[in-house]
Amino acid sequence: MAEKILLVDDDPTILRLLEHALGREGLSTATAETGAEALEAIASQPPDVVVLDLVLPDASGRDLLAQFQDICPHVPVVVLTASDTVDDIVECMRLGASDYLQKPFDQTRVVTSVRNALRQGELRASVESLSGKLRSREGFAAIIGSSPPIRHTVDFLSRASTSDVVVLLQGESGTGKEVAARAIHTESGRRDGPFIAVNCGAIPEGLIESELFGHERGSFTGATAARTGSFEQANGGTIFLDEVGELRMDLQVRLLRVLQERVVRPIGGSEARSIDVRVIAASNRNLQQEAARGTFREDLYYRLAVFPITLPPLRDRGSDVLLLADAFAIRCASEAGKDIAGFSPEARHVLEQYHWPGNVRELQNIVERAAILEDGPRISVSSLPESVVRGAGLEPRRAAGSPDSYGVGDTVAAAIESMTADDIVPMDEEERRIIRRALELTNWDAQEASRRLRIGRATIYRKIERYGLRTAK
Amino acid sequence: MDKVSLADEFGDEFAELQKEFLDTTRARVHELVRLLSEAAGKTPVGKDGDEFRRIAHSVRGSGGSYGFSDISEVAGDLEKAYLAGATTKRLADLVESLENVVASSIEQALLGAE
Repeated sequence: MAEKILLVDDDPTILRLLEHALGREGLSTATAETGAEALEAIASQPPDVVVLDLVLPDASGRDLLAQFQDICPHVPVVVLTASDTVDDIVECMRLGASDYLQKPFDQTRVVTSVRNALRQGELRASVESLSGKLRSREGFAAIIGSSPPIRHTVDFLSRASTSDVVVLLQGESGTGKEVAARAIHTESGRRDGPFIAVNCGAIPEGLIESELFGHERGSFTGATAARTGSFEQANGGTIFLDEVGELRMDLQVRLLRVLQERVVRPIGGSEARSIDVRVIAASNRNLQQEAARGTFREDLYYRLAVFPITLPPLRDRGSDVLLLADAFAIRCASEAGKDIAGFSPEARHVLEQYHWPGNVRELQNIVERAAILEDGPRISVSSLPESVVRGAGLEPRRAAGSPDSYGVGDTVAAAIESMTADDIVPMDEEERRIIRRALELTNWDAQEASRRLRIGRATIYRKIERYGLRTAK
Repeated sequence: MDKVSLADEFGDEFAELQKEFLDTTRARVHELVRLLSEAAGKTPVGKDGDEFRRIAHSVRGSGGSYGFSDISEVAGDLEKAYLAGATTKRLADLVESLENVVASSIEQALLGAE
């Protein structure tokens, strides 16, 4: 379709001339002799470029220019002016004109100017579409992976995002249920509203009711101030109820009522407040089985499982393991201020062979740890936990001097040998221990310690602060 | 004779547009004359108190765009003189010059068409 140019000038002879000059170039034109006509034309069909005379009988061209910026900010405006004062021209450009033409003008110059403006319009449109794509990196693009199971899942998530349907995300622990819930929210019409995540299993039993539905001041001992519940906080947006299977039976009833009636009643409050919230629930338990067994309310299960989506375990996602590992490694390395370019071939083999019972979360933790430990340019097997290396069917100990050598004495190896799963400590504890040891060995020279740990100086100071290591000195 | 060569360059259609423009402009200049005589020695204004200036302004902007730079020039002088509060005598002289330059452009355009 030919590009459409809207010509606005109160002088019909100028309009005729512009129509002629642009028409010869294969551009289609529409004309308006007043500001009102111009606004009408723009509202009915936005043109690709506007050529606007600054002096109109019913409106100042400057005001119109500002109005155009409001109605269709992406449409470039070429200003026509008989004025030759620099101030006027500067003012127009400031108001967003993409170019100006001084009357009298020559036809070649008109065509060039309009062509440039068209190009500018195309650029603006592509910037718009690119920033749309950037925004979507937070949405489904945040879900890394190209394996058929994950693409299939993303397809379902994408369908779920187009409506307000209640979604039940199921899948093993660590498969990324919260990432999926956030992606649905970000891609949905509610993206500008809040996203409130509540982990029903992590909140103490006595507090969960108030957490979800809120309470009035003085409604129970300790309720010294009123509290807005998560449902109300999520108004206009999305609430994500993680580990919904952990909810007490009586709260399951309350949740069911909220879903049915779309109103919440805070504890101690008599007034029902209506809410507009999209609900996404998640559980790593099989709620259908629990409902059949009577440990989860069947009616609630059917309310939640309107659109069930099961996230695949990492072991079923083939080469996604390596894609994810690389993505985590790049992120961790840059956070730690290190120059790490991926994994050694042997390490990649381990990652591919391991069965990942803790799924994406386990992979992420392992890569974070490895990025801290690694001294070389690539993460080697020696930086991966022994349990993972063994789990991949490899013998972790190697001849000294080999690139993936553990470099640990037999005593340590033997100590590890005798460990059980109970000896596994949380990641941050392990990290605290590593940093503390490095500080002790360098006589608390943080700069030297960070150099030897190959992490950034800012990073070590942040960690010292975070782990309260300063006082340990 | 640059107007004629312009007509050649842009083809017959443009020559037609030029003729239309000259007709319109001749009518506009007549309007200027009418406003002057209507004002009877006072500053001519016309509709909305601004018609006289607006016509001069339009002709100044369009003349050169159609390839008649001398029309733009005289219309520009007229607009400036008007804004500077020139005497009606001075305005009448400039309108007469404008009339002449439009007439001679018409003459040349007709010659070019033959």
